[in-house]
Amino acid sequence: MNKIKLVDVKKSYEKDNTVIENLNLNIEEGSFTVLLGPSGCGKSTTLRMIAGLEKESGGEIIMDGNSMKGVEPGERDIAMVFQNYALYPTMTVRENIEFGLKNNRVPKEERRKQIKEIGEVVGLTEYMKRRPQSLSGGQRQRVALARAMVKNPSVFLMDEPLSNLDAKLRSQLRTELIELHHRLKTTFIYVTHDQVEAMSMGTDIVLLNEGKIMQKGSPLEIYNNPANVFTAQFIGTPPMNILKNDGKLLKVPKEAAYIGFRPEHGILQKSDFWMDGELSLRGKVVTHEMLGSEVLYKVETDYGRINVKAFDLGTQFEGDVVVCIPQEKLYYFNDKEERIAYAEEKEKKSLAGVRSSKITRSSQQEAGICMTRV
Amino acid sequence: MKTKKAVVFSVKTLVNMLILLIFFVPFYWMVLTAIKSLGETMLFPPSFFVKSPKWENFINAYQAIPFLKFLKNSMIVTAGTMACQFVTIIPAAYAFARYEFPGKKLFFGITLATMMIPGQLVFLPIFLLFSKWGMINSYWSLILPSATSAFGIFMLRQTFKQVPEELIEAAKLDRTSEWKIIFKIMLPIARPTVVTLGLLTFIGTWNDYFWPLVMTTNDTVRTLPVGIASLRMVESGISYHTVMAGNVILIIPILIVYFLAQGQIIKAFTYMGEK
Repeated sequence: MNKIKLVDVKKSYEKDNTVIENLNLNIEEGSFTVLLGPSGCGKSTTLRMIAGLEKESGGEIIMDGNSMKGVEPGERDIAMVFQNYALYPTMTVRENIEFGLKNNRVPKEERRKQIKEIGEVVGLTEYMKRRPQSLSGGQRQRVALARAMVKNPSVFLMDEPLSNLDAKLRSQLRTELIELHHRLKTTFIYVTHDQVEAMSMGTDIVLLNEGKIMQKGSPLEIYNNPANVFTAQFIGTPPMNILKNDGKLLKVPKEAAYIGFRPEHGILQKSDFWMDGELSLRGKVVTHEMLGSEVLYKVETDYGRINVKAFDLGTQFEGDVVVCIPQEKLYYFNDKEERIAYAEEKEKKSLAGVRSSKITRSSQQEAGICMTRV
Repeated sequence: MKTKKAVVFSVKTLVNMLILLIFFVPFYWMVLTAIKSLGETMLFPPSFFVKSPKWENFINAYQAIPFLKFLKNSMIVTAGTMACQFVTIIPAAYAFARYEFPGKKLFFGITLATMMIPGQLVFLPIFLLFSKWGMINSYWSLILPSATSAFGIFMLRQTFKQVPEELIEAAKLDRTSEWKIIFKIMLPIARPTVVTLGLLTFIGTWNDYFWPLVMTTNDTVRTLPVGIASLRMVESGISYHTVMAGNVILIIPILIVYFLAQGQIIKAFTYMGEK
């Protein structure tokens, strides 16, 4: 069931400054939807329009079947967690949590009970009398969460709530937010520019660019089936390698203007190595970064610099190498940078029987790339 | 290196001492004169110490004028002016800081421009206006000319502008009314500025000599500064010691308020400096 529906939503600040144009989006009830995209893509604006903090220039936002036109933020049954916490600095932790309840005329006894419960949930019981200034970043974000949770809203809106925290704390709070979503089973809409956050937390990801939805789907779907070059390059660390098809690549569909593959699907081999039936690129190792469980190689090829992840930590590659990519791991995009759904692609062959062999250098090899005929 | 540091320290100390003297000497002179005898006040070269202080100067000052009446007037005018400024400055500053409306820049410009017009320039039309309305010799004639302050609006607007927008948005999501946002969130944050403005208004109004003098023709609503100035009008010449004793009494409330609020004043100015 749709909890929130955005119908042809537009947002422009001035006549010639349109941030969002005709945005149509359905957000499922109980989902953890992540609005993901680079800075200025309109994700925060979308969230703020859902919150009622910004008025849409056109279109309509529907919540639980009701139009939100003219409905004040406080009347929308939502709670929001801000990037910089937005805690009232002159109030104690307790007063911060209590403020919304007081405005909603919750009886004193009920307020006391709720604050006690929420304090225990977020682990802030002993900090209730403190002011936000004397709390750490993580504790402040917990207060912000508690303030949102205590209202028992039907939708949680979060605008990059973890971006001011250090890596360790961010990871910890990420887990806590996932647990919170499982426990509350309410709708979460989460804005971030960090694709790792999006992939790890979201049940649905909405990838935005320049106010348009580039792709919507589950993290797995978006990672495995990027609909366009933008998605392919935005999702994944490092992102998908995209090669421009110069016509020298054999067995590549004619319409394919670009060919992509994930760094983990490239197989690094020494320069005298070749794989039949696979796309092989000749190149030179520029850098290698030890990431713990894998090594990330940056290889300079005639098609630009590509990233390859190697999981065999025992072998270190230097100098001239060959990068082989199994055919079924290749993605094709047309000149509009949209994915081409090919029949061949659907019938992907498994990477069985990888044979190594030296082959005669062809003209393609001379150019630095080779697709052997199968 | 050590010598250089010592020189810098000495120069700094010297400059600080000099500044301290510039501020302290007039104050010291006032208190000193207040406890001198009339003869001592006329001595040349002047004496900087008093052997036998004349405390009765204070009693004389108190008895020479209807002191309590002037005090009451001063309190009413000061409290009235502060209340009026509280009512006018806060909404104006909030509107200039937080709302977008046609002519906002123009109105704000006009507000700032009024700071450049001296009171002496406008007192005549204001006097004529109040005279026409029959308001001369009333508290309103002393309160209304200072019912708002362009400086106050400017200062509070700057403080309000420094409050993060998210805080107000969070309050809106908490179903907070605009008035509650101002009084429960904005003003507590702007407390040092509000206290400072209050203190400046208090000092300005309490010490004001000009407006109470021109807007009154008798003692009905005259305030302490005018009353104390009348102490010097005695037949035997100016009795500086009594005038100064009156002045010392006049500034006691200011000193008390200042000592109570000095922490907030420092906060107000350092906060603005940091941002």
